Amino acid sequence: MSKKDSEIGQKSDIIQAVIIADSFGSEFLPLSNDVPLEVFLENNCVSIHHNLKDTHIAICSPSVLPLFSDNFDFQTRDDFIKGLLINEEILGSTVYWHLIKGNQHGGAITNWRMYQALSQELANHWFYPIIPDVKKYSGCFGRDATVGHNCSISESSNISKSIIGNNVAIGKNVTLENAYIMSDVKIYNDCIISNSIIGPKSILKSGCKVTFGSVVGANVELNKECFIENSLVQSKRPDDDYDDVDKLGEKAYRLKLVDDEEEEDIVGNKLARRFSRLHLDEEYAKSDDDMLESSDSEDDLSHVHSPVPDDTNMFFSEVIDSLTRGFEDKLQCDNLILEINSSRYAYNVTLKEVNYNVIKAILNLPFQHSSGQQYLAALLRTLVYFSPILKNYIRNENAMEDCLQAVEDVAASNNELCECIARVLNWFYDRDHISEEAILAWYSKLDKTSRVNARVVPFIKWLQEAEEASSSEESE
Amino acid sequence: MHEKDQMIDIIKLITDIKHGKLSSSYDIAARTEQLLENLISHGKWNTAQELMNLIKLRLKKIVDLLPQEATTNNIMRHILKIIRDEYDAGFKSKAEGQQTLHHLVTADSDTDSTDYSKPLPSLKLALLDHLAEYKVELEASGDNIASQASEHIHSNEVILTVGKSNTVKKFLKFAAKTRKYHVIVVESAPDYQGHVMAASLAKSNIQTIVIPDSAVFAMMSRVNKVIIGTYTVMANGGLRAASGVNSVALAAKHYSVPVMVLVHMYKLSPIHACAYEQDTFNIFASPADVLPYSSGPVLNKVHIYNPIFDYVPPELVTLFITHQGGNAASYVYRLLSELYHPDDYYL
Repeated sequence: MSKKDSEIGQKSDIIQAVIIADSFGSEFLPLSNDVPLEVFLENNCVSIHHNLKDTHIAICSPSVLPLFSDNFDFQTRDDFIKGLLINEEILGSTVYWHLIKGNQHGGAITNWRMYQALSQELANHWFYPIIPDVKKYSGCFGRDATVGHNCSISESSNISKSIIGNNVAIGKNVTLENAYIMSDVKIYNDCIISNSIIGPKSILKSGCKVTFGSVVGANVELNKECFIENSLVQSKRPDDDYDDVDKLGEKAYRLKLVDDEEEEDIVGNKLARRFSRLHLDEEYAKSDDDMLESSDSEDDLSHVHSPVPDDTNMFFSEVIDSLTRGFEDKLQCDNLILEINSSRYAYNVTLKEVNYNVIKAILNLPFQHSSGQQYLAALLRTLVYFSPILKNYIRNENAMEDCLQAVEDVAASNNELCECIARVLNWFYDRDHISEEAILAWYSKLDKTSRVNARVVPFIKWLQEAEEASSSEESE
Repeated sequence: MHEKDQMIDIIKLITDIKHGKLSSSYDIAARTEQLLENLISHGKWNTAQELMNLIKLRLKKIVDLLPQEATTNNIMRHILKIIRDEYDAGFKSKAEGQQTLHHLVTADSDTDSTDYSKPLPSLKLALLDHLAEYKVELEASGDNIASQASEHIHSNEVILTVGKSNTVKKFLKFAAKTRKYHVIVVESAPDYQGHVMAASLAKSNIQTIVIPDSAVFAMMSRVNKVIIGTYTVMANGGLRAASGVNSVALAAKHYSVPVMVLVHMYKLSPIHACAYEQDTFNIFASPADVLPYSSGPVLNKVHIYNPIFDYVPPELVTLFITHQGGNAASYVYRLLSELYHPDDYYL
C-alpha cells in the first residue's frame, strides 16, 4: 500500500481538518506540503496522521449540493474540497473528519469492485451492528452462502462464496461461485455462474454459463445454453454509442466491456476502469491465462486501491514518445534531455532505470520505421543523432553497465539487434561511450549459452586481442 | 394512519437498540415500558382485545427484526399479562367481589376462552396505575438485588466476575460498604469490558485483580463464589450470557464453586433456545476485534467468528438472585408463570 491519505487535523472539541491534502496519492496534488505555523500557534494540540485511508463517505450540508451544480468542474468530492479551499469560498464553512478505528468500518460503493468487496464484508459482519438479517448457510451449500428470504434452492446445487437475494429460485445442478444474485431471479437447471452479478428479475434458462466478471442487468432473459464471459448484458437495446452489440435474445443485449486504455491517458480513469470490474480470485485468473492481461489478479479483495501502474513502464513509453518526436521533428538533443529529465521526476524513477530505459528506447526506435536488414542502418542513424543524449546519460562505470544491460535485453528479444549486436557494441566502444573494461566485465557475467553470447564472442575476442596488443606495445 | 405512527415508535426503539444507543438492559426496559405506557394512554383502542393486538403487532415486529433481543419482548409479554389480569379483576370485582379459592382453582381451565372484547371503561386507568407501579419496580430492581449482597458475600472472600455488568457492579459495591473482600475480574476479550468493570470497582476501594480469559481455570481454585450477570435467562434456566461465561461456569463446576447469576425479572424469557442453533441464538460481531482489517489478504482465506453470546446450561447455575430473593434454576418455570400468561409465550 503505497498510497495513503495524509490529513492533518487539529484537536479542539471536535476534530477539525485544517488541511486535507492528497487523498489520492499523486493524482490529487497536495494543497500544501508545509504546515502553516499558525496551525501550531493557534492550537494547543495538533495531531498528524500519515496512515489514513479514505472511506469515500462524506456527509455534507444541503448547501453543498447546489455548489456541485453551479460548478461544472466539480466532478468528485476531491475536486470540490480542492476547489473550495483554493477559491477560499469556504467562508465560515468547515470540513470535519472522523477517524474510524477499532471495530468500526466503512466504505462507499462506487463501482462493481467495491460492491463485491463490501458485500463480502457485510456478509462477514464487518459492518456490525449492521448485519444481514438473513441466515448464513454453511453446511449443505458449501462455503459462505448468504441467502435471502423465500428462496427455493435445489439440494443438488453447489453454492459457494455467493450472496443471493430474496425470492430467488435455483434449479438442479446449478453451480454458483462468487456470484451475486439479486432478488426475484430465476435460474434453471445446469447453469454455471461464477464471478458475476445477476440483476433483479432476470431469468437464466437451463445450461447458461455466466463467468469472468460479467454483469447481467435487470430483467434480462438469457436463452438456453447461453455463454457469457467478461461482458455486460442488458435487457434493452443500448444507445447508438456502442458499436458492437450482440443480440442474444428478445431481452438480452451483450456489450463488450471496453478495454481501450490508449484513449484516456489519465491514470485515475485507468484505475477507475480497473476497479469497475469484479475481482477475480487468483486461482481463477490463472486458469484463464489468456485473459489475464485485463484482470487484476495481483490485487486482493480487501485492498481496493492497491495496484500502482508501473511507473517505470510509464516512464519508458514517455521516453519513447519524446525520442520519436525528437527524431522526426529534428529537435535539439538538449531539449530532449530536459524533457526526459522532467519525465524522470514525474514518475520518480531512479537514475539507474533512467539510463537503462533511455538506451532501451533508443534501440527500439528504429523498429518503428524499418525492420530486418535495414534495422542496422536505421539504428546507426539514430545513434548518431542521439549521441549527445548518450553522452549525457552514460557518464560512469555504472551507467555503462546499465547501457550494456539494455543492449543485452533488447537483443535477447529482437532478432534484428541480435544479428548486429557486435557492430552496435563496436560503435559504442569506438565513440568512447563504453569502456573496454565495462564490456569485458559485462561479458564475464553474460549467460554463455545464450544466443546473444554467440554473436558477441567474435567482438570480445577482437577486443581482447587488441588489448593484448596494446599492452604488449606498452611493455616494449 | 394513526396505527402507522405508533409503529414508527417501535421502529425507532429497534434502531436505537440495534445501533447501541441503548446500551444497558435497564435503559431498554425503561424505554419499552415508556412506549407501552404511551400506547395505553394515547393509543386507539376500546377493548382489552384491541390493546393486546396493538401490543402483539409490536412484539412480532421486534421478534422479526431483533430476534436476539429479549428484554423488550419480555416486558411486552409481562404487560400483556397485566392487561389480562386487570381485565379479569375489573369484571370480577363488578360481578361478585372477592375471589374464592374455588374460583382460583377452576379459573385456569377456561383461560383460552376468556373474551377480552367487552369494553371496560375503568381498564385504562387501572392499567396506568399498574404500569406506574411496575415502573417503580423496574427502577428499584437493581437496588433490591444489590441489597441482598451482604447475604452472599462474606469477609475475605474471593469473588470472580466476568466482563461488565451494571447489576453486578452495584451488587459488589453494596457489599463493599460493610465487608472487605477481593474481586477477580475476567477481562473478557475481545471487547475487554472487564477492564472498565475493574476500573470502576477499584474506584470504590475494592481489591480488584484483572485476569485474562485463559487464566480462569488456574484462578478458580482460589475463588469462593462466581457472581455474574446475563443477557437473558431461557425458559429452562439456561443462560444467554456474554461469550466466555460458559467456560467460567464449567471451571466453577470443576472446583465446585457456586455460580450466582444476578437477574432482573425482565431478563426471564419464556423462549427455549440452545447453543446448537448458533444462527438464531447468537449474534456475530465485527471480526475486526479478533483480526484487524489491516491484516490484509489473509482475511480472505480465513473465517473469523466473534460471537457475542454464550449458552450456559442450567445445571451449571447454582442460584438466580432476583429482586425477590434467590431461586434455583429449576424454579425458573414457576417465575415465568407468574410473569407471563401462557398464551403469550409463543406468538
